[in-house]
Amino acid sequence: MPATRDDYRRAVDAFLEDLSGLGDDVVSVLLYGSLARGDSRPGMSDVLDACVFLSAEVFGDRARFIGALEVMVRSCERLRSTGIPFHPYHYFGVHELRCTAAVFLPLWQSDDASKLLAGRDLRPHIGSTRPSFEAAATSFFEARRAGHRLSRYLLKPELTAEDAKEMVSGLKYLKVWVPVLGQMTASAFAAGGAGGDASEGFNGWADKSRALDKLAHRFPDLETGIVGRVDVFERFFEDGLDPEDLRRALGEMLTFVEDLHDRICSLRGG
Amino acid sequence: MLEQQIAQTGERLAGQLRDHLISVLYYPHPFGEGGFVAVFEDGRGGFVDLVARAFSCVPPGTHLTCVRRSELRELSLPIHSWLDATNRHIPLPFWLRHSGVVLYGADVRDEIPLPPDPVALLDVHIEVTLHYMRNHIILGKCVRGDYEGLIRRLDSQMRRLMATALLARGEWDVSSDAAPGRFFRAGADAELLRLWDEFAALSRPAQAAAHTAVTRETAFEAVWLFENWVSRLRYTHCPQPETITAEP
Repeated sequence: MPATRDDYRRAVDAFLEDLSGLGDDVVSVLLYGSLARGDSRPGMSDVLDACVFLSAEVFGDRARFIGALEVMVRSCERLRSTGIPFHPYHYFGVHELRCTAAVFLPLWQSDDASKLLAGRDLRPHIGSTRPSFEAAATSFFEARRAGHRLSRYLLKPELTAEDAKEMVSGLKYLKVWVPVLGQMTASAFAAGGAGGDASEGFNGWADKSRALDKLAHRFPDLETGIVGRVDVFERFFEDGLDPEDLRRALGEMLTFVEDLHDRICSLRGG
Repeated sequence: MLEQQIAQTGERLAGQLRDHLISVLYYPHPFGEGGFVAVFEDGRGGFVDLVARAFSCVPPGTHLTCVRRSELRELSLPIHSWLDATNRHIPLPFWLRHSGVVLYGADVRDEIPLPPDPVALLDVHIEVTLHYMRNHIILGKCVRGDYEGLIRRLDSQMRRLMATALLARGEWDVSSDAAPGRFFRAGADAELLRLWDEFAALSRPAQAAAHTAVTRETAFEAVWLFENWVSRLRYTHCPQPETITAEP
């Protein structure tokens, strides 16, 4: 039977109940992603995207750390047993709050894209190092290269079910990350990044719900329609869709990435 | 990959795309399979089609990167990506420039700049390591009971971080086997060495044993040592970070 919203809610409650065994060693639990935004799709969305912030003392005491790890593993085992799509969550020490990944800041700092589940609200204190911002500002190029690896399916004579699975997964990745990383790179390059001082370009990065709008605003003639149409293919197998439609969508997505790449490069005059 | 296979792959790429290619390079990779870089002329339209044709003439799973000539510098820019992609990307410009082989066309290796700040590379490599190892590898493998696989990945990732740390000393030609010896001879502190020795004592029998022989307790102990080692590496090798909190 497909999972319902109540199943997701029960899974999150059980997750918090498991973590409560750690007492004050859990300082904060942050939910982000579709469940936090309120647009999860039962049976399709992951059960939760979360960050668990542990006290710094946990990382300095062998027995406490191993105890915390045991609790976190058991909580993951329980989440997995729900049958809802699942991947393990992040954990950090509060002493690491200032060196988290800049790529994730728009998600983890935003009231719209994240939600405090338990403990103190640490979001105003989350930060990243300068190298992390600089890496975020040029990670779009790796997303583009990841897209290139899918291009072999454009010319493959016959697509297998395994091919279709990889294409769907690749399209989902590109749909989310190309707009997010593209607006970061565009913003940094416009401010003189990747060789100049990009620090001005670090402000105003959007999470995935607003990233495409930001790109469309910066590049009004960029054709972005394919990004919104990818969702159709998430139920490729269930709906018995035509592999050739999937192939066409992949071609459109890769063309979109190239168009975006060229526009971004024009910002640095290269 | 055998020399003959490398040459054949280069020939296939050149044979299919000769009219558009500037160069085909091959690079060995210190921690795994090497890869190819196909460099295309600037100013040609239909790049998606060229890339698709390039990928169609190499065996599936081949590490192939396609760029236009003016985009070669993109290979040296830092990234935050999946762990495997980041692990492969960090040493790439060093190996391309210093050990890369021209299989076809022009020698463009000098057009690939080396990253100007190797310490910043280590900073990001540690960040990506903690970001993806803790959820996908540490919790992920513990949930699946793959303790042997977990210890192997912890060991491998520590060696990769050692190799990245050595880039700051101009040492790029560092294999997985040689990384610990080179790293500790370069003057890493005593606490890092103690933690590594303790981890190695734990991991050697674990890696040699059958899957079922590695206990959950051993795996958790290995995670504890890994966490301490990475934290110590960050403290000793990366300057105290200047933190930026962007306004959303």
